Amino acid sequence: MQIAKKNNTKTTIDKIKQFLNGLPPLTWVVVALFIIFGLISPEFYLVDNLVNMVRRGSTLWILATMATLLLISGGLDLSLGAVLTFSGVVMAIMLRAGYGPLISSLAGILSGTLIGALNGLLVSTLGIPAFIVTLGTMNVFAGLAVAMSETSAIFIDNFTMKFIGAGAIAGIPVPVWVSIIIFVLSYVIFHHTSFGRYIVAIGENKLGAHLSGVNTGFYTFLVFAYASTMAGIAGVVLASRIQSADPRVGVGWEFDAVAASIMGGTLRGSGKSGITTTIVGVLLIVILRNGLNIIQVPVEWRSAVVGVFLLAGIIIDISIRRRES
Amino acid sequence: MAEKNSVKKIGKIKLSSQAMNSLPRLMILLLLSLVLTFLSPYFLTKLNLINVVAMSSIPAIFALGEMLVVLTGNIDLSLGAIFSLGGVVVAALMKYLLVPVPIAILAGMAAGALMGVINGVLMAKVKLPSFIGSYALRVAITGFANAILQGYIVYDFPPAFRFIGVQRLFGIPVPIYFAAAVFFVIWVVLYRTKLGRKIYAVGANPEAARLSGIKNDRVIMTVYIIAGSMAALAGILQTSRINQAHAFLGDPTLLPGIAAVVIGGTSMFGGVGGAFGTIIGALIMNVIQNGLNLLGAPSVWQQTIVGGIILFAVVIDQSVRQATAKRIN
Amino acid sequence: MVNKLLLKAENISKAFPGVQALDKVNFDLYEGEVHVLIGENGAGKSTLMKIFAGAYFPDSGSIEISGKKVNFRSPQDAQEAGIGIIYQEFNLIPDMNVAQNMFLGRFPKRGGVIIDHKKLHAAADKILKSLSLNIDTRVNVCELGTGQQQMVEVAKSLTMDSKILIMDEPTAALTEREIDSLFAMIKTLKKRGIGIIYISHRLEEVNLVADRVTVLRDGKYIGTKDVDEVEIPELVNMMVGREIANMYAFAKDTDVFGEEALRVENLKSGSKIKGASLAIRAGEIVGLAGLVGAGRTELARAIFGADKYDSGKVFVFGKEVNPREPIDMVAEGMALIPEDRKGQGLALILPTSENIVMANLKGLFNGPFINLKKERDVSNKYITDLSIATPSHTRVVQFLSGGTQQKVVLAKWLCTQSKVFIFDEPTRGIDVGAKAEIHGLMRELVKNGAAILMISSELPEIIGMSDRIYVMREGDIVAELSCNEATQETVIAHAMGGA
Repeated sequence: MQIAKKNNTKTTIDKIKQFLNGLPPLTWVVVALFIIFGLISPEFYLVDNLVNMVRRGSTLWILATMATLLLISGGLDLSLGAVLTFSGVVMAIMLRAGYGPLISSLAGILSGTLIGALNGLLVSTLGIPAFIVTLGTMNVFAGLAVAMSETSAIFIDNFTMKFIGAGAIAGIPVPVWVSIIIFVLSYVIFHHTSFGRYIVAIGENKLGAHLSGVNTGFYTFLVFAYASTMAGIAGVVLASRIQSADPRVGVGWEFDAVAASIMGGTLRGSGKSGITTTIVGVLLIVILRNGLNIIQVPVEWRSAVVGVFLLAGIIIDISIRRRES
Repeated sequence: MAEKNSVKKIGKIKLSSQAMNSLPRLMILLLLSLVLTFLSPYFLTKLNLINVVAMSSIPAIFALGEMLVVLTGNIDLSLGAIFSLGGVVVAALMKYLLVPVPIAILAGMAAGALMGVINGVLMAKVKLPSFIGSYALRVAITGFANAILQGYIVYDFPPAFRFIGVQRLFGIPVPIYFAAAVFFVIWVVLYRTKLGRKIYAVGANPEAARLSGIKNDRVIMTVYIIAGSMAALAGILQTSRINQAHAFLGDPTLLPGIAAVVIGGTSMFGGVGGAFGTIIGALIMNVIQNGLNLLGAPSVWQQTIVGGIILFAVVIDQSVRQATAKRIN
Repeated sequence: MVNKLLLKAENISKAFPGVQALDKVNFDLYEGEVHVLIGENGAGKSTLMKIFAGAYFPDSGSIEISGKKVNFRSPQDAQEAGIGIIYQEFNLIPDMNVAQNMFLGRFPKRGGVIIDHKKLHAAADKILKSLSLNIDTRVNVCELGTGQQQMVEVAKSLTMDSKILIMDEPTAALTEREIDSLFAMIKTLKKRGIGIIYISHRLEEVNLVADRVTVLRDGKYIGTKDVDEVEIPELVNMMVGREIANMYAFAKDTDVFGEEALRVENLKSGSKIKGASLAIRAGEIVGLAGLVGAGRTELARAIFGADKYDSGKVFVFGKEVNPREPIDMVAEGMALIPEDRKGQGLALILPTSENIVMANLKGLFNGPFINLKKERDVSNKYITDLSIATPSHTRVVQFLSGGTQQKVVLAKWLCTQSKVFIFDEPTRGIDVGAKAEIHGLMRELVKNGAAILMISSELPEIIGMSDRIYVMREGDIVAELSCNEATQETVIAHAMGGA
């Protein structure tokens, strides 16, 4: 019984071809949008605008990467947007109460961890579908964020936080650094640790993993806790960036995150795309939203267009995968 | 005729076994009512009780529609937007096109049904996961509803229209009649028709259903259409009741609607659940909201509380399910 | 040489609500032996194995491993005690490579956190070599064939230094050649002193692989025999409490076949079906033999409309149908009893009656409404006719036994008055008694004019039941054998390409 060992000699052209084939189909849509928006409105290409998109994208990238990890493990977290908001509010309240930036940030991040732990606990021990659990927690904490901030934005006036939000290291904005670090961390975890491997195992054959001695309950829990912690970090950075904790920001981001993840190809075989291609979906959404703004589509129509576009994007991606398989 | 009688008789037995299943929920409802009577003297007044039941009618209609979708193992997150759309379409038709009231209402429901078709196509043909597809559609529908009214809110509806939301017939508010009619129809569909059997089959095991010759796509499309029509109807009734139509009217209804379905015992996995339970779920949700209002809880806490209720209900439901499963194993 | 006693279980009892699954069962296992465990469905074999594997806790009784008393609280405990179990359903992760699958849960790490891929693959390669397997450990499991996956499962259990290996129906999904490899591997393991507990429904295998045989019946321990001291009929007798002489002695009295019921012309579907043609007539049972992976189930599903196919024609009683959905074929009077009865044949959480009427709602009830009385009467009729062991027609199917569940699936299709049946592994995992009943039912069907296409991997069954046999190999139908031509050798030869 033999499976031939893979022939490893490939020419550079072959490697390029392989890379291009491995790209999610929607990559070309991203490129197209980038070109089209610029053609309609050259302000799109202004450095300020591009930097703006990168900043917004960095937050979404974190959430989308988490959404990808969750989807691979067979789960889903609708509360990521609420965590984003809530952690920012917690941090802002702590700052306002006189605590230092480090403690306030940690408090914000920790609140994310706790929410994720709650989600993970309910999903892993009680077996409640993640969808409904996170729907519940999403509303609980989104509501709490509104209540705690008394419905209005809390301004942040702290030097460190301002630096985190607006500063740059080696020319790259700090928020982007944070996103890159989180991505690298998640990549290493996914490919090179048991935790990451178990995420794949649980998503594909939970029972089998359990019978192999994997503590599926614990790792299911851990994915949620990890995801919400990272979302907490994203929330703290976001609040720093816009210099306020606004309870209305963050609403709907969880959907954008899942949509970005799917358009990045997550619903195809998990081990194949991993978490790297998610960024394509992120770029798509960021460019789309920004572009619609720049070319001055009327506000009432914007959400309709985005909704339709996202639908179309997801449909196209799934249809192409299906045809491939 | 004899056939019909025996159906009724067996119908009675079936009804009581369903009622038996709903017994714990009924108890919860009574318990809540008891607690509220204790906490606030206004609760047990005739006025308030009729008010509670009347107020529950519209969410009940909404929840019954959502329940059908959940029974097939899917979810419809766009129903809140369809709720708004119902009111918006009716408003636009009556105000700008001077369409007579009954036709406007039917058109509104048709709009809801049409959205259901789109949902159905997305889920059944394109095979999108339902939470993604219906959420995206919700964004799109809200956007379109907003675009139709150009961002405005419509007020001042004609009295003929306001009849269905505000008036009473023989002392009972009209929405209750609508709710009763919807309940009756859905009950019959679920328990006495082939469609009902197919709904449960698709929810319980879609592949087995398909291999048994059931057209899953059609069943799913049908439930989305019914749900869309119900949501639109609920939105139309609400528009009549509060004399307003705008694109965000239905946003606060989705969550309590899902809560009602969950509390009512319908499983998110599909194949388990019933009409009667959902009605009780809607009543429970409304009693809770009514109670919160009477106790003076600020509205800003509503979202948190409803979210918490969903969590609570689902945890309890699942714990019970797990406990019985453990006994069997 | 005295062989050490690896495992000794005494007076193991386990009860579930309503049923005593095990009643004071004894079992033991020595180093280097293969001890086969047989018994009807419900006899308790699976329960006993799960207790050994730490997945269930016994109500009473004791277990000693190498002389030491043990009390497993989890599968990990059993693993640590040196017990490895290979379930019928593989526990592999398709999108992870072979090495990662083998060491799932026990990856070698640097610094306790980061996986050491080099070490991992080296260790995996070593084990595969020791079993004379030539599989690349960097390949994802989803790219392996079923037989190779089974080998990976066995290799996996060796990563745990198991001294005791439990195999549950290991040959169920294997080809003859793969079975030979498996048996060779088992010999290797025996030489190393590993004790193997082997569950099988294939009595022919007992002679080939076992040293000793233990029989359970209704949760009770019936007896243990050395394999050279016992013949199959005696074993069957022990299993069912009665002799079943000559399991397939049917008078094949039907040389009178009816009209052509099903014809398939040059059906092609991807790489799985390369152009299959067949025909069956009313009154016939036609077998479809072949190795696992030959495409039989794919062909059946394509014919039934369950899967899409690329080209070809399907005729039912002369009418060209070319199905795209199962309903197309169901409407023409066709039935498919699928391989996976729980996953595809039944809605487990629904009552028996709803499952029975599911495929014929249109025929049973006029208009959109359901007549509850009729539903009940029809269900009860089939419950009686097929001896379906259920307390009532409202009993949820999930609680019925495997053989009973299969009967419910059968009842569903009988209810449709179908005339053409495709049975895919109809008696897999079913005890001897229920097997005979189902075979009897199939014979009844064709006697009354139905046509049956039967897929089976059990050669005695397919040779014994069929009037004709098609043999499939790698997507083609390579042979059509008559009743007389069909022997185990010829069927295998065609299935493997040596004819």
